[in-house]
Amino acid sequence: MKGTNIGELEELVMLTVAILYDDAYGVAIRKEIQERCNRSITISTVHSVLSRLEEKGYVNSRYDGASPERGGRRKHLFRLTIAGQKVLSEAKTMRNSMWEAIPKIAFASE
Amino acid sequence: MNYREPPKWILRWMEHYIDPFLWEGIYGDLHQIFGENVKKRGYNTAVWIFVWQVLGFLRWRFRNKGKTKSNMRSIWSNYLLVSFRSLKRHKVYFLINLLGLVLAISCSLYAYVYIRDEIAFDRHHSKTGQIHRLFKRYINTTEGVDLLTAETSGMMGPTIKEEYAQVENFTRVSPLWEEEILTYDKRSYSMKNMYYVDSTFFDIFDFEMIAGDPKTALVLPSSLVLSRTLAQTIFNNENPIGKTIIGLNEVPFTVTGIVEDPPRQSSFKFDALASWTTTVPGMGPLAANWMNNWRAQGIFTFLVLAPDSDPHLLTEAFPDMMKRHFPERADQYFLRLQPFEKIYLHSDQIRNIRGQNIGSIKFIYILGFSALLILIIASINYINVTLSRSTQNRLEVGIRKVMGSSRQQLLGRFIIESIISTIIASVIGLLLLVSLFPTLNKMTLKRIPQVELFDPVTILVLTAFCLVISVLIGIYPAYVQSAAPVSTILKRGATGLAFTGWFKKILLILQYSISIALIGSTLVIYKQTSFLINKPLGFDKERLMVVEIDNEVGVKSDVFEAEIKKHPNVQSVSITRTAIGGGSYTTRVKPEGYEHELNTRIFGVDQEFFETYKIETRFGRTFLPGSVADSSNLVVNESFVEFAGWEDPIGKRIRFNPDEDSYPVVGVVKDFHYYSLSNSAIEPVIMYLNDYQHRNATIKLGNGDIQESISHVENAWNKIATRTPFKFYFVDDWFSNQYQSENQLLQTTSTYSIISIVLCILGLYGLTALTLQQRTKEISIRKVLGASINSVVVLVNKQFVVIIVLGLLIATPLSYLITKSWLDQFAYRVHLNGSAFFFAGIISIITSVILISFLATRVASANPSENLSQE
Repeated sequence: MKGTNIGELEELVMLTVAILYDDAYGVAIRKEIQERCNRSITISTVHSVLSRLEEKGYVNSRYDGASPERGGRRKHLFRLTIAGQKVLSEAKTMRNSMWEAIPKIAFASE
Repeated sequence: MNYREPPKWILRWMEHYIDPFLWEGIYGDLHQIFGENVKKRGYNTAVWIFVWQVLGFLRWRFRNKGKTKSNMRSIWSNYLLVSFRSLKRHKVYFLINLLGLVLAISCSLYAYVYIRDEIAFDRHHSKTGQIHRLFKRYINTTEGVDLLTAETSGMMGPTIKEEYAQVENFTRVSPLWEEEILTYDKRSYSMKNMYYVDSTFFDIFDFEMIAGDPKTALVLPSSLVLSRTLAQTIFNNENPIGKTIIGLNEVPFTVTGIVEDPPRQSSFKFDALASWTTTVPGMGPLAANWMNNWRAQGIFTFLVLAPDSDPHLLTEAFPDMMKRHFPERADQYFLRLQPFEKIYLHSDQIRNIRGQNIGSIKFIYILGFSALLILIIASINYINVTLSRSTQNRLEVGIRKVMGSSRQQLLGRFIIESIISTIIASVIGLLLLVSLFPTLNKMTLKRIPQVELFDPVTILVLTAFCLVISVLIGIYPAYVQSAAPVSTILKRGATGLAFTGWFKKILLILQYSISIALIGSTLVIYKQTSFLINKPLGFDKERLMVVEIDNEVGVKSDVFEAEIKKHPNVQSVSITRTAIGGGSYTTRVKPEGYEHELNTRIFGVDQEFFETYKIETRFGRTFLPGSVADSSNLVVNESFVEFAGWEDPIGKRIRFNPDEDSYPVVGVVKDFHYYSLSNSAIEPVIMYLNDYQHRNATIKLGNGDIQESISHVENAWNKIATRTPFKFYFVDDWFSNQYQSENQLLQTTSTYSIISIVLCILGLYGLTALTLQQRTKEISIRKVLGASINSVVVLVNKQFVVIIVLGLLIATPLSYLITKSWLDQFAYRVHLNGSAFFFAGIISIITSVILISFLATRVASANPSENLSQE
């Protein structure tokens, strides 16, 4: 069903938003992904994914916490919505069930 | 801590394009990252990263949705829509315009790619700008010689380097005339280009050495540096360094290095480089006196000047140097310098260049200029057809004006139409060029890689070019169409601007004069080229086969000759030093009764030479078969007699060296050609009996099977030759190969003139069809009142014929001058008269009249009541 599927990068960003809970904004998300996945993505990509997720209704956002190192601008903070949480856990369940369906013999060489 | 701000300008600029709701978060994030980067990598790097990151936000997703006023956007998208519809509705006119633009854009794009490729030659050397080629102006007043030649003598380079401090370095380069055979491990390889060069060659030119030391590789005598391809062919996977290869005159060479093949855009095109010391008498095994003295002129000299020195000062010092070292020629040889990067394109006037790739600046001008002319013709078509169509858009313009469109908006509306046309045309043009590229490369003998078409710079230039062209051709029609006040537009039957009619006619005249000039010039070039190819050569060039024989077969030439002659289709065989199409040399002789020395070409021949080539005898006799006495007799050509001013040539004597005997002339033969007719006239020629140097075997074949005769000769060859491959050419092929540059020019101009006349006719078709459409009512009324179909056809034709005749009058004198200057470079040329241009005019008039009459008859033969009842 189109619309409820999420891409790999979207899933990654949503998980990071969940991890950071109350302090999920562009730079922090980028840094977290870099540290956890050793994967560097550009800041514009992070923003692009966030705005797409907000459009789909999986995250919502608010502005808060201005500081001098941000040139006096507030942070654009994101949080998962109920729909977002649901789609994440669905993705997880689906994967788990697929993992369990793998016959033992397929990984025998390891 | 000194905190520094990120560059504000880019943020200010970016703010316009980004959704204001997202902007605050993005701004903060960018700012924060910048601060961290300044700490980690310093300010400058941080700025670069910052700019890069900011540009990353140029995405559709972040666009500022509130920016464009929705009203304006819908107006412009409506313009786009209407433009497409209008192009679709008037398919025929759109296709006429499109075809013109497609051809014009592909011609221009090809010219651009070609020219860009040509001017990039020889730019890869780091010392470009300092390297100069020595060449000379050779003036000999007694013989009326005044020409530029690249040939210098072997002593010039070293002497100049020694005597003038501003000359940092020099190298001599002497490409071999003929193909060289290299033998290694009992196998032989023939190779087109071998240069003898000084050891400084690699200091001066940046050719990449793969193996061996560039400083020392060419120092010792008998050193040989192979190109990568040749090294691979000969040695495969073996390491060639230190191996011995047998070369010219059985000289053993030691391989001292491998050099990367010269790049495609290089005027040097060597397969191997041999050390100059090989040729120095007393040092190397080849002992070529002529390469290392003042007198002989046959090698090329390249000098490196100090970075800030003035080449003119050096040129001014040359006469003095000549007086001190070579006084005999000081009043004839005037040395000059040519910058190395100019050699490739600017050597049209300099003779005797061998073993190098040479382009032609003239051809570049012709290509660029012709493309420009096609562009003008296509633009005129566009403007004329669009102007004539303007009445069809009158209603649209009127209503838009009533609804409040401004003048600028309407201009934009019509220019959008031309932009759409050029964009479609350029895409098709590019595809057309891609599909024709291999053919064009073959035609122009270039090897431009196809990716050049998709080079970012090329695409950028093409885009800019399209926009400029769209505006140029779109602006005047747009201006005219948006000009009229509303009150006149909405009234039926109001006429357009009076100026427009004149404007269209002037453009038509211009268009026709270009086309007639192109066709006329092509006819002249065609006449000249076929004249060169078909002019009688003074001998029979048909079925003449020349086999190049070197020492191995040369010493057994009797056996070879006897073997060949066994075949019934072999009519006669001449084994000589000189063959037509092969090399010959010049020397200076003193004919009896002639005041000065005469520059003369020398042919070493045998008794059968005259019979084999069917050269006619004028006076006296040629050499008698089997006669030994004839070895001290001479035969000359008619030009020699003319130069020497002899009344009765038989028995006159010629002296070769002041202190030697003179030899009597026993016969005079008719002048015959031995070189390309395009730039060399027949010189005085002396023929002597040469029975010891056997370089060429010329075989006259009968009307029998040519293939079979060739294989017979090859079999005879294989019985004698052990290491030399069998090589031959036919004299008539050799001659037609001499006219490559003329053929290339002919092909180019023919293509352009065909395109030009097609475009002219198309434009005329569009224009006439539109005029007739507007005059349908007039013609119908004329018919009702009793006019015949013929009189209507004549009426429509009249003004166009006047236009073409005017075009002819403008085109003829201009192209007469241009073609005359082109013809002047030929030693033998056709007489130029106006007939070619007259003929071009007739072609234009006939094709145009047929087309117009066809259209007019269709309108005139329609039933007038149908046309009139539409009211």
